[in-house]
Order: sequence, then structure tokens, then C-alpha cells
Amino acid sequence: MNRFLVRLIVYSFLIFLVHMAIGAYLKNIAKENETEHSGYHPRQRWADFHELSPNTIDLLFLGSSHCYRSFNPSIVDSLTNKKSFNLGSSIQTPITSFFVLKEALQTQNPKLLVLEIYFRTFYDASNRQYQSANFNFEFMKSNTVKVDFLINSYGKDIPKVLLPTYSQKRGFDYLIEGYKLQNTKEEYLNKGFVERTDTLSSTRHYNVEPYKFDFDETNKKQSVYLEKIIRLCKDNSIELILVTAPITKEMKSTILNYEDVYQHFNRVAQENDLDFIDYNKIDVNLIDTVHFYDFQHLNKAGSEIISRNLSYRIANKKLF
Amino acid sequence: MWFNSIDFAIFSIVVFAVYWFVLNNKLKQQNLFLLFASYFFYGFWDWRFLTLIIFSSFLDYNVGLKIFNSETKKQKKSWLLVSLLLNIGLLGFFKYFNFFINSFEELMSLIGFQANITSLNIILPVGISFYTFQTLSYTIDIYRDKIKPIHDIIAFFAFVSFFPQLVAGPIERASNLLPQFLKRRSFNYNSAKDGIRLILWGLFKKIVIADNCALHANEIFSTYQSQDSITLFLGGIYFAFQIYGDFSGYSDIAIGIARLLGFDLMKNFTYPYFSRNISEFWRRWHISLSTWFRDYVFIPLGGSRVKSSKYIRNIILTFTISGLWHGANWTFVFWGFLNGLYYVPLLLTNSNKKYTGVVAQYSWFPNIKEVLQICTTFIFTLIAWIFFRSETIQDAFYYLAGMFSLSLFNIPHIHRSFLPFILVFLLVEWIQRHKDHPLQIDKAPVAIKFAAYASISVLIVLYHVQDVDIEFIYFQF
Repeated sequence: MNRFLVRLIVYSFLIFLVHMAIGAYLKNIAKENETEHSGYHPRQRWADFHELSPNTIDLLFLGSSHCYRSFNPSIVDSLTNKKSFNLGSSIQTPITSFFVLKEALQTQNPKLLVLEIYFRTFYDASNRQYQSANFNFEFMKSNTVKVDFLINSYGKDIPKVLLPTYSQKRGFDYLIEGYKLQNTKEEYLNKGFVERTDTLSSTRHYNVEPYKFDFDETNKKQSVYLEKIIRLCKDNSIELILVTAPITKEMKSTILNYEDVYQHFNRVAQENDLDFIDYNKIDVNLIDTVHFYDFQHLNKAGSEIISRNLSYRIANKKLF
Repeated sequence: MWFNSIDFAIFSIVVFAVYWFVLNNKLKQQNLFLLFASYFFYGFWDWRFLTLIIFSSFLDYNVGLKIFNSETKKQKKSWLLVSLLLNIGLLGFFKYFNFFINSFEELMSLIGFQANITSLNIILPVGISFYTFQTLSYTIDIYRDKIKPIHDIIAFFAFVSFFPQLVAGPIERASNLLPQFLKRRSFNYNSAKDGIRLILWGLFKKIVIADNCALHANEIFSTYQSQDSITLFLGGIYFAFQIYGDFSGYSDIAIGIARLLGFDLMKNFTYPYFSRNISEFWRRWHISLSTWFRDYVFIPLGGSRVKSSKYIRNIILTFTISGLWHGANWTFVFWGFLNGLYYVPLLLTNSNKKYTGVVAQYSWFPNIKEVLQICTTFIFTLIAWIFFRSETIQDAFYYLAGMFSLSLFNIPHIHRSFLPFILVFLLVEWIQRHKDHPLQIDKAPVAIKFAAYASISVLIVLYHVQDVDIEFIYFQF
């Protein structure tokens, strides 16, 4: 038995070293390919954020792709005369938002946080939290935040993160297939914002069966982390606004109990004395085939409208 | 708990540690621990399934004793019938109830009657097809005086629920596995070492070969109407390797884990795609199931010791029933029937018992005749796999019709990226075809062994199909 265990451990360790070497190589490949204008937003976004001088950001945006495609910091800055940054990322869940905020607070001291709330991020779909974390984890610099993030976010997926070849698999895909620009119709502008200029075709239809959203089926841990974000903001004297970005009317119509979704987050906001803006309940003259490029993301024209509207609201509240 | 999941890895490590470090040399406690571990594993899928397996175990444990203790043949037969009816009844209800209802309704509508029988929302318990056959082999073998019943209920329950092979085989015989629960197990270095290698190879077959082939096969089969012949042919190849990698990979992992715990499970696959005719294929593919059907269906029907027409009938019937075992769909029935049909020429030419050894046993390469035989056998099995994979028999025929046209001889432009992997995989299996599995490389230098293990582990990680949970195919049965 001892001989077996010793050999198993030695072989495993040596094989792990091989994985480390290959992982380091793949990490380099990923870095070489995910250059500026390559379309891989997370790397560029975090690179821009880490280049900021300390304590220069007044307003921070967090949330999913709805966030980084809806709220243009350049427009917000020009209308509020402040400095903002958009640290939204794809399928950013409340758990991820919490740790992204903690990372941001290592070097910045924003006065206002706009947290984009998308109800689907509260669901536990296959791999969702793992993917959500992956868009941010490797680009964070604070080891304390990273360890905390690793333990509390990845759960049983921790071995995947710690195995270098697995966490850098992206580099292998670039090696085999060559890097493919994610999408030529969109562009990472600056300050975390991604802009897209095309529009949703009128011939496309949202082919999803109508459904009812049930909060009992969501991952309770996501709601716990939403509360943690609220507390963290209070502890750091950061004003917090909850915002739900707009989706197309067609997509909204498939959510049979959207009013319940709205009321749920409205209650959370009221209980914590927060402002909550749901752009699916406010008429800001968005047209599906003009202001969206797909059923749930604004294009350039749509993001300008929402960014302006949000800026006026922020300015009127005189939160700064 | 998929075999290729982190949950299962943690579970296995804990079981291994407790089994050998806490309960070493304590047979009864080890069996009890294995029983609870197996129930925990099974309950992880759905705790409700536990009631069935416990019932099945309890039934056959007692029926086994009753059969043995019965004084007359008639009494023995009665008790055997109890076991057969209840086990097959349960299997039939959970697996085939809706299938038979729907088929009956379709038949009635064909002759102009509307039969509206309510179908039930029945969940198929994972592994029921496997453990039911395993317990049936116990009672039948007692009836045939091949084995005696055991009086250790814990050992019996542990035998039925043994987690490595519970959900997708190999379907163990009581005569092989049960005695292993009754004698003290000591850690064997060589066995454990081979077990780890088997697990590694099994994971490679499942994660690298099967899952990547599945991506191509799924896309081709779902769009077959718009694909050219060569692509459809590739779809068949991808599915052939998907199901092989998936099922044999699972079996390897099961056997490997069992070896780590000191158990020896039967081989389930021995390089079936190197078979020279269909009868050899069925001696190499899903061996535990084909031998089960041979011993408990084919032979009771008369086997081969009858006149030719009945022999053929017995073969076709056995294969057709085995097709039905695979799933509640006429496609599986037809797949089984087709394999039975393939047998007929071999029976008529007395060629079904040829080729029991390793192909090209004394040379590096097969000769022309062997190449042709292997390719022909593969194509026949591929055609049958089309039925196995298709949603309906009609789809299968349309698929095959699409596959056989002049564009079959075109060079494929799509879905060819993974073909080199399949070729390399086949090459590795070919080189090692004399061994139980390709990673039996004891005589190789340490550096080569290390390079092999490292390469396989890296490939498993890099070719892991992310974000998609591709099921083990046979878990559906």
C-alpha cells in the first residue's frame, strides 16, 4: 500500500508539474492573442482598470453583459462631470459582483455603485457561476480577494481553477484554431464599455416558451451575496443604486410574471432604502429593432439613450 | 454523480481511504461500508430509486434461499417464477410501460380505432436494467444448481448495489462477484496499479474520444436531411466511436475502481472494432450482456442444439430481445433484430465460431483479407448503429438512404477535424491489442510510462468538452 501511495503521489506531482509548464505556455498564448482590439473584453477591461490611478473613480458599474453594453462611462462622465468605470462582465452573478467590488476597492474609492440586476443570474444553470467567475478571476491582482473568491465562488470547481491546463484552456483553443475575433460588429471602447452597432432584425423572433420566474428555484447564495454587496457599500459609505437594464418587449413578454420579478427586487431595494430603476418598467422610447442588436442587449443607439437617462437621474439625485 | 465528475473523484478517494485505512482486514465492516457507500452513490441520483434496489435485493436474497430449500422441482420453479415475474415486471413497468401503451395506441389507430390510454409520468431508475439482470442471474443459477445461496445478507446487498458497476455494468455473475464479497480482501499493488491505469484510460475514452465524437455526431444526426453522403457516413463513424468510447470507457473506470478496492470484475470490451465478423464482434462488445443473453435466453430457447431453422429463430429472437433491453423504442428493437440477421449467413456457413484469438496475432499488420474483414464488419455494425442512434426507424432509413449516394466518395470538408484523433486512438489500440488495455505498459521504460500518463492526462484536460454535460449513453438504460 505504501509503495502504491508513494508512487501515485510522486507520479501525480510530476504530472502536475507538466500541467503547470503547459499551463504557463498556454497563458502566454492567450496573452499574445487577447491584445487590445482583439475583442476579448475581460482582459482589456481589467488592464484598463488596473492602469487607473488610485482613488480616481467616482462611479462604478457592476453587472452582467447587460451592464457593459448599456452603461457607457464616457457619456455618464460627460453628463455628470465625474469619472466612472464599467466593471461589468458576461453573466456576472451577485457572487462575482461582490468579489469584483472587493477587488475594485483595493485601489479605488467610488462614491456610487450602480449594480445592474439581471434575474437570470440568480439561477444555477450548468457551469454558470464557474463561467461568471472565470471572466474576472485570473485578472484580479489582490491575492486576498482571489483566495476568498476562489473558495466562495468556485466551490467544487476549485480543482479546475487550480489545474493550470484547465484554467488556460482558452490558449489551447487559440493554438489549434487560431484566434478568432469574437465579433467584428462590436468594439471595446474604453472604461469597460463594449459597443455594438448592428440592430435586431425584424424577421427574427424570440423562440422561447413563455415561463414563470420562480425565486424559490434560484440559488439562495446569490441572494445572500446581493445582501453582502449592499452591506459592503454601507460599510464603505458607497451609495448604491440597483438597475435593471432593458430587454426587448418580445423577450419580456415571455416572462409571464415579470411584475413579480420587479416587485422582488423592488422589495429588496425598499428594505435597504435603495433606489431601484427597472428600465423595463419605464418608457424611454426604446424600439426593439432600432435600439437592440439581440433580444436582450442594447446597441450603440440604445446604450446612448439609457446612459443619458441614468446620468440625468444620478445628477438629479445629487448623490455626489 | 457522473464518473468523470469532481464529486465522484472525491467520493472515490474517501471510500478508498476509509476502506483500506480504517476497515482493512475487517471483512464484514468493509462489506457494510461498501453497501452504504453504494447506496449513497445511488441515492445521489435520486433517493427514491433506493427503495427499488433494496426491494429487488431483498426479494432475490429470500427467493434464492427458498429455491435452494425447496424440496421439489415444481416448488423451485414456482419460486424462480416469482423472481422472474417481479424483477421483469418492475423493469417492464418502469422502462416499457409508456412504450407499450404508445405502441398499442399506434397499432389501434392503424386499424381505425382510437385508444386513449393514459400514459404515466414514470422516471426510469438509473441502472435498473443492469442490477435487475444481475440479481436474476443469481436466482436462475441457484435454480440450475450452479451456485448455492449465501446467508450473508449484507454481502448480498453489497453485491447487488456495488457502486462501480451499479449503473452501467459490467453485469456481474453471482458466481464471479459474490464469492469476492465473502473472502477477505487484501491490497494488491499490481491490481491497484492496473486499476489506476484503467481509470485513466477509461476517462480518456469517455472525455476525449466519446464526448468530442458526440459533438460531431449530434450535429450531423440532427441535420441529416441537409448533409451529403460522406458527412452522413462520418456521422455514423463518430457515433460508432462515441458509443464505444463512452461505454467501454465507463466499463474501464468501473473495473479500475473495483480493482482499487480489491475486486476483479469481468472484462466487458476487448477491442470490438478489430472484429473479423459479427459473431466475433459480439464476443468482444458488451461481453457481460451478450453472455447473459446467451446463458439465460438463447440456451433456454434451445440454443444451437436444435435444427437450423430453430437455431436461426433463437439467434434472431435473442438479439431482438437484447435490442429491446437497450431502450423503449422500436429503433433499438430493430437494431437488435438487424444484428441477429447479420448472424444468419455465419450460421449457415458455420463461420460463427471462427476468430476467437487476437487478429494478426503474430504480425504487426493485418493481411489484406483481415483488413477487408475488419472494414466489412465495421460497416455492418455502423449501419446498425444508425438505427440505434436515430429517433425513429423512418429517420434511420432516411439517414441510410442519404448515406448511400455518389457523394459518399467525396472528400469531406466539414466534420473531419477529429478524424485524426480517431485514427491515432485506433492505432494505439491496435498496437496494444494483445493486452487487456492499452496502458498495460509494464515493460516500457519509466520515462515512456510517465510520458504516456502525462500525455493522456493533458489530453483529457485540453479536450474536455466544456460547458456541456454529455451523458454516459448507457446510463439511459
